[in-house]
Amino acid sequence: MPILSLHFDHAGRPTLELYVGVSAAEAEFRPPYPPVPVRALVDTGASKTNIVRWVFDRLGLSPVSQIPVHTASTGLTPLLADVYAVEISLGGAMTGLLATDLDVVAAEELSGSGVEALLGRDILGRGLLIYDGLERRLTLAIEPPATSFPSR
Amino acid sequence: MSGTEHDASGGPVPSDRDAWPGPHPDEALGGEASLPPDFEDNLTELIDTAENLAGDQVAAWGAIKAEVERRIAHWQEWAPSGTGEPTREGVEHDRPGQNTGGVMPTHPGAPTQARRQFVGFDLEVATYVRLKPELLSRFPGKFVVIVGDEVEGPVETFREALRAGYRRFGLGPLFVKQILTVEPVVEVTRDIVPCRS
Repeated sequence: MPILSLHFDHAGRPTLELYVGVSAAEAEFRPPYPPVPVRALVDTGASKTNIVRWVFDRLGLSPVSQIPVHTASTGLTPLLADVYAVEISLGGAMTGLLATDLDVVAAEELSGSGVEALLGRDILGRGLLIYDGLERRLTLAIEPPATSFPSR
Repeated sequence: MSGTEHDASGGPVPSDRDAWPGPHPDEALGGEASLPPDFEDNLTELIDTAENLAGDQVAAWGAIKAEVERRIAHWQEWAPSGTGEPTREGVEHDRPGQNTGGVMPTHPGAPTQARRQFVGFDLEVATYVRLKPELLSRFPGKFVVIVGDEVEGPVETFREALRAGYRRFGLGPLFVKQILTVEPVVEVTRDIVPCRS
């Protein structure tokens, strides 16, 4: 199980480098394409991982569903958002596969937060998260995904 | 030789070309030259597997024939108007689920059509809403893939749904739904702007 120790960024936020790529399922049907590096914010307030739309455009992906989303400003009525399927890996010094076929929510923008993704509880829920505010450090241990199909 | 074709190695391969309903797939696809070298071997292996799975050669062949005829009918349905026959020329349609033509894949297992364009999920949502009561009663918790008014599945996982969808409909937008009584809602405590194409 990869164990990641992250220092907070200059704004005091737990961020990390991720690679977002074509889902394993789609990769079986198209030529390989390099993953896109993104900066992600560890966000326990997001029930699913959110990624800005240009990442999907760069990967040449099409949506695979839609889902209602409640945000801080949607009020009682959620907004529909496109869903994409991606593969997510850790970037930076520590590498490791986090998900091979993850359904993530597309966002036009993430409130000017300076990141391209919110790493939500769909991923965080698979591991242990320790938030050490005194040391300005976050430790993340996540179980790698089970692969039920032969690897590519 | 009438009624006989040759595989890539030159060996004879039995053919039922005369009995084929409509244009033979090889003709429509541009002939054997467009097929991968190991196509015949893989096809034979797939048919053997089907026979083993069915445990009854006659039943297996009935199922294979029915599926082939269904696909031919589907394929012909989306042929450009006026030809009356399917074609592999790139033709843009405005409905999801059709073959838009394209080049041969460069990757093993790749579908033979170009990526379908995304024109919204209105049709797929309507299809799901119409079928949901029956799906819920028979396959709760499983996944289906919908393109237009065509449904693939049910299958057990999201990944299986993606694979089944790309295999049947080719690359492009899919509408994958887990069959649930209460539709899930994503919560994001930040003020993000969700993207809806």
